[in-house]
Amino acid sequence: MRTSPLPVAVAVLLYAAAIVVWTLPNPPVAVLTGERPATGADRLYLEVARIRTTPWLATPLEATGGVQYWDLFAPDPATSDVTVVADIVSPTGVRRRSLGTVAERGLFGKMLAERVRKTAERLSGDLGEASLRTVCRRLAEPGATEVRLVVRVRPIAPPDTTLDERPSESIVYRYAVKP
Amino acid sequence: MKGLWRWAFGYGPPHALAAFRIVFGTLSTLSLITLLIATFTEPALSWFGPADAMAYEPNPGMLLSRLTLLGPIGSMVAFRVVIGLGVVAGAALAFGWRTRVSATVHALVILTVAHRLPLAMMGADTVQRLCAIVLPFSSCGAVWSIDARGREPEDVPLWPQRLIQFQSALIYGSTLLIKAQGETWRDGTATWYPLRLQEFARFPLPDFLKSAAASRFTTYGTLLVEFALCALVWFRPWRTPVVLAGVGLHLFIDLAMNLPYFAFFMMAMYVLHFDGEEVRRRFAR
Repeated sequence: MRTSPLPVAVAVLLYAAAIVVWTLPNPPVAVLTGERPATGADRLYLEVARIRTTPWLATPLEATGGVQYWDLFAPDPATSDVTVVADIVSPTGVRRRSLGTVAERGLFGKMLAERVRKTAERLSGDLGEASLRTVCRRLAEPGATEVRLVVRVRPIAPPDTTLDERPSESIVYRYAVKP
Repeated sequence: MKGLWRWAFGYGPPHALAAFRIVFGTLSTLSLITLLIATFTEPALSWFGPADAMAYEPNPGMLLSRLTLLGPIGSMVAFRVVIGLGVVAGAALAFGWRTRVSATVHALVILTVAHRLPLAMMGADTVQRLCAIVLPFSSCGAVWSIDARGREPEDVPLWPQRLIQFQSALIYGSTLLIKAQGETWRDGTATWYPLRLQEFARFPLPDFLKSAAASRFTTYGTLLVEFALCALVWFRPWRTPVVLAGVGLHLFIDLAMNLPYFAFFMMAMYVLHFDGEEVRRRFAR
């Protein structure tokens, strides 16, 4: 029976192996922060996290677009609605601007806005200062003196419990606009 | 071992790949049209570009593709032109017109989008990209296409089909491993929360589907179906029921949650779990 040439098969197998390595879970946060030692599968995941940063794996996957990580609703789904707003401060007052909330949009509007919601979710997560600064720079309107990124969190009560589900707010980043 | 090698790298009827091409090309075109409209309605999409430091922060899910048709051009107009090119290429791919070229252009556009909007990528974009980069190497236009009019279909290399099959199983397997670290997936409350997130809500669900008992059922049911789509789908007797369970899972998620196109890209991959001859017979009836 006819088969594909060996170099093709080898390239496919290498790609398949690379995406397997890339999609293995990150170690749990407690292991990463040293709160508990890595045991069992976590030791493998720690090693994989190290391998992911090596150029021989990262470069070809970046080049081909094969990078992926499947943590939708995992390891746990979000247990609160998180939205991000920006307070733009100027001498005339503070103007609040939403950064992508989809709850009040219509069906097609939700589809259009999902990418913006996703971006806002990432901004409220573990992105570094450079990202937050870039966003604030984009949001700074003429005359603004400061841009504050504010995360609004509406917790969801676990089953059979009660919880105050009113949203709370916290400032995650302040950016002083250079005159 | 020889049998496995022949299965993975042998040649066979192109009908499953062709069916996938038609569905994927259509979905991908619609998804790019949605993105094109969003570039006009959502100003936030112009805030972030590849030149920003944020794009290069280490996060395994967000590393940039280095292939881009835009290069250093940051203009939104140029970006829209590229998306428009992707729409045309996606439609050509679905119809099987100049299939190899259209699949290649389409893949380059998808990679460009990933490069241009690194923070705005959704799960659907990743599935779309992972499939798009395989299709140019496949003979997905060998049948049921404009290119193949008047030609008898020949057997084609099956490795692109196997690779996308493997990719599909890997998505379910890896998410299962990540969920194994989560407390709510173990205690049966995981689906309680997403169904109450206002930012994810699409259609309102009846209350009984959101009860604690229903949450336990859907939480463990999700894990079971994901396991089946990773492991059991490879066994012929299990394949059809597993695929139907996967369709049920994704349709439920799609009705309940606003995850545009994700369910449909995932379901499109299922056709590749069937051999070309099976797909041909099913459509020939």
